[in-house]
Amino acid sequence: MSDVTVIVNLHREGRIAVAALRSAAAAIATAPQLACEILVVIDRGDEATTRAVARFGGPARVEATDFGDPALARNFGVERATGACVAFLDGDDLMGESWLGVAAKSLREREGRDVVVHPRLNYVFGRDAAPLVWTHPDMETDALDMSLMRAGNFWTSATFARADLHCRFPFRANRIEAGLGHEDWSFNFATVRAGVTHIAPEGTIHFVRRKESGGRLAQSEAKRILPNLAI
Amino acid sequence: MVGEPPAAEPVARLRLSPLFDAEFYAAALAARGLALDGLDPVNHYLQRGEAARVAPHPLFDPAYYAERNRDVVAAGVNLLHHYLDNGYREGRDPHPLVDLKLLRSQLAADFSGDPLTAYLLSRGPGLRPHKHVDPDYIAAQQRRLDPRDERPALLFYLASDPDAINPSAEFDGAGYRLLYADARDINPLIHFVRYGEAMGRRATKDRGAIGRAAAQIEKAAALDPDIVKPFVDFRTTPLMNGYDLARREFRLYRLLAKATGRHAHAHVILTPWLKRGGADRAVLHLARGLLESDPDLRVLIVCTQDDCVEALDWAPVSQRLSIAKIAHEVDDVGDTYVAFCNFLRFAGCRHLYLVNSLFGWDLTEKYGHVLKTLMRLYGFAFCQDYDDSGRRAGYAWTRLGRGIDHLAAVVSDNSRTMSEFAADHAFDRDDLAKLFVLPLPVDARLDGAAAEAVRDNLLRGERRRRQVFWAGRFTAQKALDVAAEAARRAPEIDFHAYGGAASETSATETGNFRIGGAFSDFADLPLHEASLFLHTARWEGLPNVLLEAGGVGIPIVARDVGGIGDLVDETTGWPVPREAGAEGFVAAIRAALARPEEALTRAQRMRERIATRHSNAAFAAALAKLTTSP
Repeated sequence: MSDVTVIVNLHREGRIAVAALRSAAAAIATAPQLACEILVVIDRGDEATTRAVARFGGPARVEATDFGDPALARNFGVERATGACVAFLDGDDLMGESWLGVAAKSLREREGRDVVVHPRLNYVFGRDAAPLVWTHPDMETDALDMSLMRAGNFWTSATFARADLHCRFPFRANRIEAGLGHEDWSFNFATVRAGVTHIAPEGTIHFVRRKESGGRLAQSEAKRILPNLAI
Repeated sequence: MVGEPPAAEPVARLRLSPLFDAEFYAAALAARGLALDGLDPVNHYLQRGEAARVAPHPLFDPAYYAERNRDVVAAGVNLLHHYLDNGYREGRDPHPLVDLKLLRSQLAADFSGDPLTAYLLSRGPGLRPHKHVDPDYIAAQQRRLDPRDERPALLFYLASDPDAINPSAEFDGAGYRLLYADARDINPLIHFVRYGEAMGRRATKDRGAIGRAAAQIEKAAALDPDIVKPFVDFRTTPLMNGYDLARREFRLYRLLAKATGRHAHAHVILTPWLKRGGADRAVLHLARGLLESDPDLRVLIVCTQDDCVEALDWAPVSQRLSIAKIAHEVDDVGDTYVAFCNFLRFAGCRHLYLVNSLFGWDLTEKYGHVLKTLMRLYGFAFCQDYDDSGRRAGYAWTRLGRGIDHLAAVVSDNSRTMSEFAADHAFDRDDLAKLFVLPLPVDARLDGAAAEAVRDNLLRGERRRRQVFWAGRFTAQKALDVAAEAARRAPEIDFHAYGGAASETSATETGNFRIGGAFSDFADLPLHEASLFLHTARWEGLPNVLLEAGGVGIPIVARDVGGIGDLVDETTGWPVPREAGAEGFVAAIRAALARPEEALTRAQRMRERIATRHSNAAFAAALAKLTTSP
């Protein structure tokens, strides 16, 4: 049993997955007070991605799945996690060094409450694009009109929360063929509706790679997907 | 433009005024590619510069002053003189970033002079000239660059690079410009104050958060070369608020939620606007029919292209009818489509009607595959339309082919144009099964309103000249020119054209061709004078004006285009072949007038046809069938 399982979801990221895994290792090293593990879930991955994980060389459990759905792959990761808390990291993104320590502290300070922690800053970068930073809102400190979650997603899937919360609010399977997806939006919507508080503590940052044409998000956009919200 | 040499007194006044900066003026001229041409700067300004709206001072913008004070421009006085004489007293701001009222509030209670002059004579931070200009914040930057610089903060700011110097902690010029491309060639704060704020844009705030994360960014950059590119200072990265109420999809959703009061609206009609055209009338008939079909349901009309709702006085009076105007909040980027789709889902929309709304057709093309599993989509297509080159331009041509797979029905008010659409797109059996004719109702109070007068005019009018009415928009489509030419060829008949002013058409009035002006209600026309109604349009659906003319009992001569054949045939009027010129219309008009009994018979049959097909009851029955058929 560990304190935190960092679930790194991979698909066909190839070599760039090394940076994601190294960023997780760095965040773990910066929070020595936490017992952490890295769980790599490769969903319908390719050989390049598998080799990238091997090249990483750090301690990690590796699971291969055949869901073809990041929502189900995340749920699988929660099932296999040994940590009381889980932190999700997409295989093409990086987590900030302070992330695990600050997020765990934020949860401890709210013991007994249902809370999902998000990084305050999202540093969006890409090979051919100028970077951009945008902030996640915080339900405790920002005056938010939560009805606007129907119009736009507030938070990405880079979360830190207790594993049992994810068991109660599993990600809804994407139904791409029916035009329904965006599992992160659906998760945020369902949890907010159920009274879960989403916070974004200062001093935390994630690095979000702008999706290139082969990415799942790019595919979703090409297919014109609506969020799979429980209306 | 070169004006007369100014009198000595005005020149002397400007020379002494703190609002004339000769050096600045010369630079402003040069920036516009102009020169003093040997003139003294003040003389140049008075003779040429102000007319070209060249600023004589950083804080007096003649273009801004002129735009905000049309009365001053109309009076033909010099703008700067006007400001110095009266403008400041009347609170007429000389520059977008100078708020006279705010300045005056910071001056002594008995101060009665020009607040701007007082500001210019002040030193250091001191006065705040505008709510978005923080003099202390600017002064801190000013001191860092030159501790001896004591210019008023706003002058320093306007003379600086707005990407490097910010006017307050709340406004980041570089970030604003990065976010909004239309602000790139103008000072970003001026753009924000003049345009952005009204558009709901948010200024990007200070980027201190990025500075606090600098160490983490550097460490991540060591793991991936794309995070911070070599030789780039990441501290200049723009910072956006993820929860920004200026996000277009948020603004759109709020507008829609406000319009609907968060009530469920099972029926949503998308229309470009509510003007006084035929399609607008169809929208309101549709709304009325739906509201009357069920006392519990609510209908939402969404104007997607223009906020004009002038036809609302045609709308049914009902608390259950909501109107949303979203023209300024939709784009083709994608997020607004998703927000709109989600709104439809949460509003309980079960029936979505597209009536000439480009946004609606695009929405259907992009998200129809999902929406059709949640609600029924109906695409309305009344007629062909053409551009100036004669190419088909209507949505029935440009959008219907790709949208029909997602539609429960393609709806038209006539069967003829429907056949044309089917041929255009090579519709198959499944497609054809979706075609649905929904004849629109005609105002029942018009029925036979002119019948007796027309009878009298036709049967006992030998001693009077016959009066032919034409009514419609003065556009190329409606072909008023053909009516004018017919009048020229039939001097024994008077023609009256209604629908616009003489200035709106190239057709000129003659002794027997008169233009009667615009009208908002067909019943307002002098129908008791009419003998015949003429319709010359080159392309059409089934125009409402023919239903009205036929309904009141006037015999009709009409070109057989679009859906007109559904109404006007050899038994109910005088159809004129599609390709006919003015001589064809004249022949038909003379034929009708020569046989008044036959004209009255056909007019009577027309009334019966309209009463049968275009009654409210028939419309209600067809609408019920449309919304419930599998």
